Amino acid sequence: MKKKRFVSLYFKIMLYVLLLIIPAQVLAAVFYSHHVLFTTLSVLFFLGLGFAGSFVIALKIVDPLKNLVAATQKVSAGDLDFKVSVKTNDEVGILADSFNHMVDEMQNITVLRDELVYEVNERMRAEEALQKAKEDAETAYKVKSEFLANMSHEIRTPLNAILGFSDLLSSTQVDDQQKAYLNTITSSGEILISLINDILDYSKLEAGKVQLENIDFDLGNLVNDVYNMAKIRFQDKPIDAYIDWDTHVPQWVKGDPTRIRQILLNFLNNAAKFTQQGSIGVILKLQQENPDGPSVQFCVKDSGIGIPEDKKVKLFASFSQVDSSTTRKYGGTGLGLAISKKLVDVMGGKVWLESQEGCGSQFFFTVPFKTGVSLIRQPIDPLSKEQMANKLVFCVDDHPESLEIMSRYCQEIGLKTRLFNSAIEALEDLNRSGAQSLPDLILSDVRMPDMDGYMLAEKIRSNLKFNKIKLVAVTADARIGGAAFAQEKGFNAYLPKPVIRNDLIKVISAVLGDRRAVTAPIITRHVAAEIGLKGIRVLVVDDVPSNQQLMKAYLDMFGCISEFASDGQEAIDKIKGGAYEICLMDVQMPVLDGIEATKIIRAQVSKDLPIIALTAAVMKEDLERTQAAGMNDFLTKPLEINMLKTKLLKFVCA
Amino acid sequence: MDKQEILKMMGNLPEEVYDAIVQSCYEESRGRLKELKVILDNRDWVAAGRMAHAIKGSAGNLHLTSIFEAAKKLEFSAKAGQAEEAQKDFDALSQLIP
Repeated sequence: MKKKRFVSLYFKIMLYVLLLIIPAQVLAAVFYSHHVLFTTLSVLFFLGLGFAGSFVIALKIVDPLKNLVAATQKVSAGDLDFKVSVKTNDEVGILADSFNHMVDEMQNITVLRDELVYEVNERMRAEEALQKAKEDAETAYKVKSEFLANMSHEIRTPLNAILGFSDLLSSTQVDDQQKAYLNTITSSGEILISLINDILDYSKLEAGKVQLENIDFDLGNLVNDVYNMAKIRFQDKPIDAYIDWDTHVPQWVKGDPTRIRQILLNFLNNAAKFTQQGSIGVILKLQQENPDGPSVQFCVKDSGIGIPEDKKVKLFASFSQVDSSTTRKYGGTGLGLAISKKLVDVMGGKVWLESQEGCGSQFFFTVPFKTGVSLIRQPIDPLSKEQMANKLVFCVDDHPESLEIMSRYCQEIGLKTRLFNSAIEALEDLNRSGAQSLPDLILSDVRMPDMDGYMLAEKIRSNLKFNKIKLVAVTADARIGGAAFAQEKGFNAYLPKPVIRNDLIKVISAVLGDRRAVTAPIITRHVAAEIGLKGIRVLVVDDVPSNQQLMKAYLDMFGCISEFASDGQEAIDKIKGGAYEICLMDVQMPVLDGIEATKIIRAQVSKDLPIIALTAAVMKEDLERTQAAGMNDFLTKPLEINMLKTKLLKFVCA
Repeated sequence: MDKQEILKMMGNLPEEVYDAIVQSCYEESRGRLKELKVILDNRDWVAAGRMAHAIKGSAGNLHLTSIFEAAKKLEFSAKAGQAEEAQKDFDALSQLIP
């Protein structure tokens, strides 16, 4: 196009020139011969004509071009408002129009460019703000976590005192009403503790700072135990309770029993909350056998109100219940399921639910365990009260109330105690002490000013002089991962505050009887309870030899020492002569039956010895008869091993 | 239920221990059945019921389900004083104990 225009412009200029020159020469040839003047005039005329032609050319072409050059310079200098004013219809006019159009376009582009630059700047600013916000959030998060940990510690410490002193108070002279009040204080305190635990657990899980325990435990006993705890919540409702234990699930597994307890109890408590009648059951199945252990599927099944389809997904989200009216009606933090889900995730399992509104719910979760070994076969032989007498215990805690509770509990079972307000004081004392006056055990708080419990443990473990001393962490920060961390620092056992009297005694007795290496898995209160049956003396009263044999086989598995009587009279004689911690008494026996024998024992021999009835009868009247005679509890036949263990654990304390 | 399942249910009781207890249970039950025969002939229903109850109890603990069920039937018929029924139940139970 451009070339074509240029060519046509060239021809036009040529035409102008020819139009001027050719007529001039023709006229010159005509007039030449006649007159020189004429010649001169004609030359002048044609020169003038030439000038005029040049002028026309200059006017038509050169000026507009100059105009355009000036415009180009102005535009390139940035003045985009400048316009070329050439109003001709020829190519130069078109050129000028094009130029003006181009400048307009450039003006548009400039506007767009400015917008772009603005946007880029904005984005950079936003990014900076975002980065700052992120940093702020991270700081705030850290501060929040620390705040939560601090607050929970601060709340727990006085709660520990409230619960501890209520317990101490209830063992003094109080009447029934006062005892009831004290029980209310205790149970309210426990609810408060569990709420604080939820909040702290959640924040720890959210931060991804979770270390799991990895210890051998009796899964059967755990499920039974948790079930009995949850059952208290629905025992007044018409609800059938059951545990369906697939026989392929092994009794002993290795994993984190505390977390399994927490999850199972959460699901069971929910079932208890939302079920008014029908049944609540726990169903265990072997999901698959992995090379390093079994994967177990747990299911908590209820016949309660169920969960509508659209609420199922939301249910495992944090702070969420089916709806807010649920919170008002049934209470709870709404964190339970979220915590359970996160815990199962951390353990490498899965959580899901099957439910229909109005038709009950089934909450499933799976946990891959490692193969477990019975704790009874490990070299831990809890000390008896007699064996513990006069052992020396250092109690270390910066809170005088906590110190007092710990030392009181210790003194009650005959331990000698020395109290320290700080880890530094305790350590100085240890360094000064000769081998003879070193303590057998140190109960140490974890969070203390100047030197904390972990530091104390590390210092003690780094000195061979102290290698016989057992260390028990007693902590108000006892939440997820605490036990594993304490083990790392050199503690042998781990106990959460508020300290429960029996837990403390069981843990002390287990730790003092622990002959395993220092690096052996830490003893928690549940481990202590598991092996708490080891070495206890049980009197079994049953007239049938094969029943005696079976009972002996079971009690052997728990590590108990069993003795036998074949009728009520023999039982009375044996109890008079020997020290038993518990008696399992058949109800139907020749000579003197269990009911009559118990009446005599209660009247003449022992008011306190726990006596558990063994009975095939499950009629209410029969059970009332055993109770009236002074029996503490009952076990139904056919005898079930997990139930037997649970009942023994319930009554046997160190 | 097979034996392995029973052992699992009994907390992984060692098989030889289980077998030994089952043998004692059979032995006891044989002795009881002898006594039961006399008692049933004397129509002492209370004693018969008690005896059947004892057999039921030991068998139940060991998950010997068929003996448990048969002994349970006998316990009820004896306690109800149904002579013919009790005799039939007694025979059925005797069949089960080697």
